[in-house]
Amino acid sequence: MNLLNRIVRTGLCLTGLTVAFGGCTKLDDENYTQLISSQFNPTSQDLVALVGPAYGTWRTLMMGGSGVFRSNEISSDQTVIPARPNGWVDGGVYKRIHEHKWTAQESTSNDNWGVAYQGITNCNRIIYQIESGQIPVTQGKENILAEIRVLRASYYFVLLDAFGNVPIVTKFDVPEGFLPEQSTRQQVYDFVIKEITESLPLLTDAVDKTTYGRFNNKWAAYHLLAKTYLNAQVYTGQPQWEKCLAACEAIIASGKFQLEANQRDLFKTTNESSKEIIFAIPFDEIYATGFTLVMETLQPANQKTYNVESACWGGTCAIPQFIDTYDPEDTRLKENWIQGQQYTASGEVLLGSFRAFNGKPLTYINAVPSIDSSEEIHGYRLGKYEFKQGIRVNMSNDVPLYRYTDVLMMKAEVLLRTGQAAEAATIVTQVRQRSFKTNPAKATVTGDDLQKGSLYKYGLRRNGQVVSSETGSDIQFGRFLDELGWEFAQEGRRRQDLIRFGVYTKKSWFSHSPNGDNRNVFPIPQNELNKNPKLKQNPGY
Amino acid sequence: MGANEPWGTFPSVSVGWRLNRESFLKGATFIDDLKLRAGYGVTGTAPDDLFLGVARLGYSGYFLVNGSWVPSLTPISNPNPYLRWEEKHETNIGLDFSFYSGRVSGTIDLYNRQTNGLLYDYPVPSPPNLFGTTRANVGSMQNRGLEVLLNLVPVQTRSFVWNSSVNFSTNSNKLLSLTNDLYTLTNDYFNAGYTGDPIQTYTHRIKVGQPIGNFYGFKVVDVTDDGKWIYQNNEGQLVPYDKFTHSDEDKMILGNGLPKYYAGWNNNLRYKNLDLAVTMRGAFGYQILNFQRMYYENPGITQYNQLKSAQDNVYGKVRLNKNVPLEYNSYYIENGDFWKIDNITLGYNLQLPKGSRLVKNMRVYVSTLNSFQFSGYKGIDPEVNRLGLTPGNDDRDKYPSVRTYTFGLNLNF
Repeated sequence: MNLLNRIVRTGLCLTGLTVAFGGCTKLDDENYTQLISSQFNPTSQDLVALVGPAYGTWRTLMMGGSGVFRSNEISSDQTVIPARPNGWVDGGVYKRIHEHKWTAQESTSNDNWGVAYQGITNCNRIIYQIESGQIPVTQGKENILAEIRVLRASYYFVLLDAFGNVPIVTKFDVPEGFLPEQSTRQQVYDFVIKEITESLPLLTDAVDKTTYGRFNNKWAAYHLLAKTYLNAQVYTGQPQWEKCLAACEAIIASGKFQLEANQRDLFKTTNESSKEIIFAIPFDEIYATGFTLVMETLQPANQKTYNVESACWGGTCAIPQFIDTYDPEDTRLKENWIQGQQYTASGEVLLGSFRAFNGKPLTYINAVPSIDSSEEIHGYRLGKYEFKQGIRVNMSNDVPLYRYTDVLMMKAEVLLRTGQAAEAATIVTQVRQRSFKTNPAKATVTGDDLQKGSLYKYGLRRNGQVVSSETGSDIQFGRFLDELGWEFAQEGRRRQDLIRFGVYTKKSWFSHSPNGDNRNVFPIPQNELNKNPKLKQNPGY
Repeated sequence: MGANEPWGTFPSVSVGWRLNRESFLKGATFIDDLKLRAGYGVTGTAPDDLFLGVARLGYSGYFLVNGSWVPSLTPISNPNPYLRWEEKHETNIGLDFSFYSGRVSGTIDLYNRQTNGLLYDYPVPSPPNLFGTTRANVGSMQNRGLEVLLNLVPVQTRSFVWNSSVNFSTNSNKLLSLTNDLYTLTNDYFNAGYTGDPIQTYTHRIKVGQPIGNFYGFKVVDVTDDGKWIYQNNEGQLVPYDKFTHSDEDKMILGNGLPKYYAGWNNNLRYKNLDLAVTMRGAFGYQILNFQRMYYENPGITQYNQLKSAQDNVYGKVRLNKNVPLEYNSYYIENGDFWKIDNITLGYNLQLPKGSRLVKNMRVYVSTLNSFQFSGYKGIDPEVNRLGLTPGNDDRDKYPSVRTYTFGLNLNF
């Protein structure tokens, strides 16, 4: 090399180009806008900044345009995105999701794969950096590793629920060209359980600012554990009611959580101090954007109701058959669904702006003609989360993914399913009380009630006409499913509940007819199959 | 780029042979110059962005810690330490000629170009990768073609000069491979281009053994009596809309966005003080995906703009059914062949009085740009973007090309 160098150098000297050559040897460049990982020596103070991205992924995963929220909601029997005068056909994607005709190319189900694995790979990266000493952690190393393992398990839980058979990758420093092997749904389930149970002893008992929105505390971990056990029968064929109960009892026994007196307080713009929240995904209109429900559900005219930053472009609304199941005195019907005549912030009647309702009062009615066409007045809108005055496109309400009511209702479900209906009814009654303040007698349910079927009048509907009739009364514990529906509507979980109660692929609603039991899991994204030949598509896709 | 091997070697060599200086052409006095040349060279293209070879961190998003928002450090890309220069190996043979004191001159070039280590955001599996694509040198591509340039001076007298120049080129390309030691796809293709909302699908497929620029989608051949598409599937069978599954397997090559031939003809004429310049060009043998028609030629969509042609009969039979949603299919792929008379400039040099001191020179002219266009293409302008992997997409929201008229006066003081 030296000799060659000298020859080249001499040659260039002769042609008088030494200056140019001198310039060429200094090719080292400085990077001013980014950090080169290998040149960055983090201290334990940087730990928070490095852990951040592993959590931030939950925002996109939950509330992204194709996130868990949308794929669980609009494929189920409570909400729908019909074609609107202002759009929402989008190549038929929402219709395909509603009718269970999605393909392996569908972004609404596909995106969750990529986003969840982004969270997982970030967790793997941070674990690797801590274990290898790249990030020096002087104290609490085991605790932070335990936290990240539970966080990673929370992402795997999403994959377990949505896709079933997914690869388990726990290492960051994989060999070049490494292609992960697919695991069975049982293996993924076992992995999630193992990760949480092994980490639990290292997590804190505290519930305060340092644990908010994080998995560094026992209670968020127990909640995830309970949720996994609750659905164990779906995932593995083997129920785990007792284990689910034990995890719920651990949270209840801590005495650290309580129900909000009013359900709507849990969904306020500033809800981070709620005693009901066990794990929330923090959102902020400036710092942590991506929660845009106000835009997705309200019609443009509603901009004047809340003085929204810009005109809403909404379409998502309630399926009328679901609204019909509410007791009229259930305050959740009024509080969670935007309905009736709409007004400006100063109380003037709002007018519509499209087609037949242009210039006519904008009044949301509980009717939607069909998935293929609707006017702006059709369908109650999603109003569970508070829309504050002067709300921006991005909302500041935190999304309470795990909340204490859910713990109580998981416990109630286990009791109900294990022959203790009366005890279950006591809990359900307790949960209902805050929603029947005007008529407290109606809050009470009995064990017999809960063992009845669902009040939901299933079957196809078109232009307000009954196309086909199906009863909900044959759904085992259907009434309990109704209770879940009323309490947890608009929280991005209906699909999971419907699957556990055997409804998701069996009943018809609105424009949706059953399209095969394989629809209980989403297809593995086609582009991932293309990239990793070790992956096999889920059956029926 | 922070990679293991940031260096590239780019040698080139060429030889020329002045045929007109050989003894066997001594007698041919009409030849001014005749040179046969051959060359081989390697040129390199570095990755656009720096530091792709190493793991990079950037501030992205905030994370709530103890009640306050802290910026978080996130990896920006999958690092690829094997990243290197993309290399273009080109062999060409050419002929430069000039006859009759420059009245006829030109060049002819034949080339064979092979690009190795094509830089591309290659799809990689996630997991284990953080991102679904990595910038990598994967694949090689071949380009072969012919370029001819001919300059003529058909008339050259004291008062009248006509300079004319004709050019012609043709190119064929083929993707040779899409793998290297580290990267392999299950399929020997990937998809590129995007229709945008609400159609939401890709427009092109890049496949080994095939040229770049293939449109890939559903092929329609007819309509039913109620105005719904009739498709041709991959077995050549006709399938009506309601029976068609619209799956990825039903898609096929619908055309190619890269012209097979380009041609141009430029003329400069001068008669005494009057001068006229005309430039013309054309491209032939290619297709365009007309996004405007794909989006606005649907009678059922009333909330957006609609082209007048949305009310026309499809295939001369019936109007498209209002319930057929927007779709990317071969009905919106058209031949793009065109011939354009682009610039016409007519100028006159005014004779100034001999004694004029202030103004030395004065010329008036009228000029038009984008003057005439001969094409069967239904969109505004068939000269669409042909760069990259998705040539021939005539975007919906582009600024329309304009015709310009200029009247000018040149003064030299």
